[in-house]
Amino acid sequence: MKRTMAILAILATILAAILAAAVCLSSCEDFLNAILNSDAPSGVDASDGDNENSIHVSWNAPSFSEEDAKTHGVDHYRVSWTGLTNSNSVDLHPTSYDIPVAPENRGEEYDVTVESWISVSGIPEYGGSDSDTGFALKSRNLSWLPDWRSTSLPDDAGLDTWFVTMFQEGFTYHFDSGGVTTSIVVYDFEDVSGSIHAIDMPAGIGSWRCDEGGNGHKFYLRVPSTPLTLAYHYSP
Amino acid sequence: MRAKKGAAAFALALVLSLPAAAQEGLPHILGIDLVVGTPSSVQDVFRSVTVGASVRWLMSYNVELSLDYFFLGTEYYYPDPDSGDWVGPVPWTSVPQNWGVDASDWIFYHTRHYLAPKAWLLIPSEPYGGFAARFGTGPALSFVVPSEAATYYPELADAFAEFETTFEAYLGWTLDAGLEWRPMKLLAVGFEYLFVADDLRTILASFARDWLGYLDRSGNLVIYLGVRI
Repeated sequence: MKRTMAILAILATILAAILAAAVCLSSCEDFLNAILNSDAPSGVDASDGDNENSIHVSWNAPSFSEEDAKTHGVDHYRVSWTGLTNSNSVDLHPTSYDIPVAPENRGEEYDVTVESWISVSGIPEYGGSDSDTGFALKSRNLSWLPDWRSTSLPDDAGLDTWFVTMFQEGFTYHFDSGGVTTSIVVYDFEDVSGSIHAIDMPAGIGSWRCDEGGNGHKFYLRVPSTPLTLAYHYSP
Repeated sequence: MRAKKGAAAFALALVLSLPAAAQEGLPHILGIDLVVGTPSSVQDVFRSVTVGASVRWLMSYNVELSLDYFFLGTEYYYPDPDSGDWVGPVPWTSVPQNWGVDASDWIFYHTRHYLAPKAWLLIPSEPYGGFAARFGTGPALSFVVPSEAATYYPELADAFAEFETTFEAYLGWTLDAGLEWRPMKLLAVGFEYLFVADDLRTILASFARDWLGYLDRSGNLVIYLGVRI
C-alpha cells in the first residue's frame, strides 16, 4: 500500500512538473514575443552634451510579429521634447532627429519622447513610445598642473562656461578668480539634472577636496558668465 | 629585427598552410574559448592568474589559426607628495596610501594586454572529436592602454610618454603544446603549456641546461573551455 502511494505521489509530482513546465514555456513564449515584437519604438537615445547646438536623438523601429508585418507599417514617428524654457514636437519618417538648441539653452536637460504611429490598413494608430533625456553643451577640457595656470572667461559673452575634467578623489583643487566673487558648480559628467557640489569663492578664492566619484571620475564645471581670469591648480 | 624575421616566418607558414587546408574541402569551424592562464617567471608575461579569450579558426582537421588575448593587469602612477614628480608605473602596493582611496578609484594608471596570433598543428584521434594533440607557435605581443586621465594631467601624459620609450611591444616567440578534448562536436576543453622566449635558440638552450627545471618554472599553463561553431 505504501509503495503504491509512493508511486502515485511520484507520478503526481512528475505530472505537476510537466504542467508547470508547459505553463512556463507558454508564458515564456508570450513573454519573449512581448519583448521581441512591439509596435513601439525602442532604444531611444538622446545625446548628452555631444553637440553645441543640438540634441541628437536616435531610436530603433518597431519590431512587428510575422503576422502583424503583413498588415502593419510605420506611418510616421513623432518626436516631442520639453525643456525648462521651451517644448515642441515634429513628425518624421527617419529613425533619428537633431533637436535644435539655442546657445542660451545649452546645459538645459530636455525630456525627449518618440512615439510611433502605425499604419494599420491605411489608418494611423498610436503604436507606443519610448523616452530619454538629453542636452546640448559647449564645453572644453580643463587640464591640471601642480602650478597655477589661468584662462580668461567667459568664452561666449553672456553665457556660462562649461569645462570637462577629471578629479582624483582625495586631491584638492584650487581656484582663484582674481578677487571676483563667484561660484563654480560641479556636475557629474553627462548628467546636468542636478549639481553635486558648489565651490563658493566669496573673495575670489576657493578650493575643493574631491570626495565624489563622478561619472567615471569625470565632471563638468560650470563657471558663471561674469568676466574674470580663472587661475587653477591641484595639490595631491 | 628578430621580431620582423619571426613575423615573416609566421606569415609564410600561414600562406603555405592555406592551399593544403583548401584541398581538404572541409568546413571552416570557428572556436571561441574562455581561457585562464597561470603565472610564469618567463619575462613575467603572466604575473598572476589571468583570464582571457581566444578566437580560433579551424581550417582543417590539422590546421588551426588562433588569436589569443589576455588581460595582464593594471599599473599605477602617482605624483610624489613631496617633489610633485610623477612616479610609475608601479604596482598598487607601491602607491602611497595618503589619499584613502581604493585602486578602483585611482585614475592614474595604464592597463597591459597580451595578444598572440598563432598557427597550430592538430593531431586528432578522430576528425572534429575525441582527443587532439596541439602544437602552436606565433609572436606574442603586448600593448598598454593609458587611462583617460592623461588628457587632463599633462605631466601624467609625459610620464606615459617616458614609459613608452622603454616599452617593448614584442614579448617574444611562443611555443605551445597541449591536449584538447572534444566531448561533443560543439564543445572543446583543453590545456596548453605556453613558453614565451626571445627566440628559439634561447628556449632550446634553456631546455638543454635545465630541462625539467625549466618546465617547472618557466611555462604558463593555459586552460580553456569553449564552443566550436
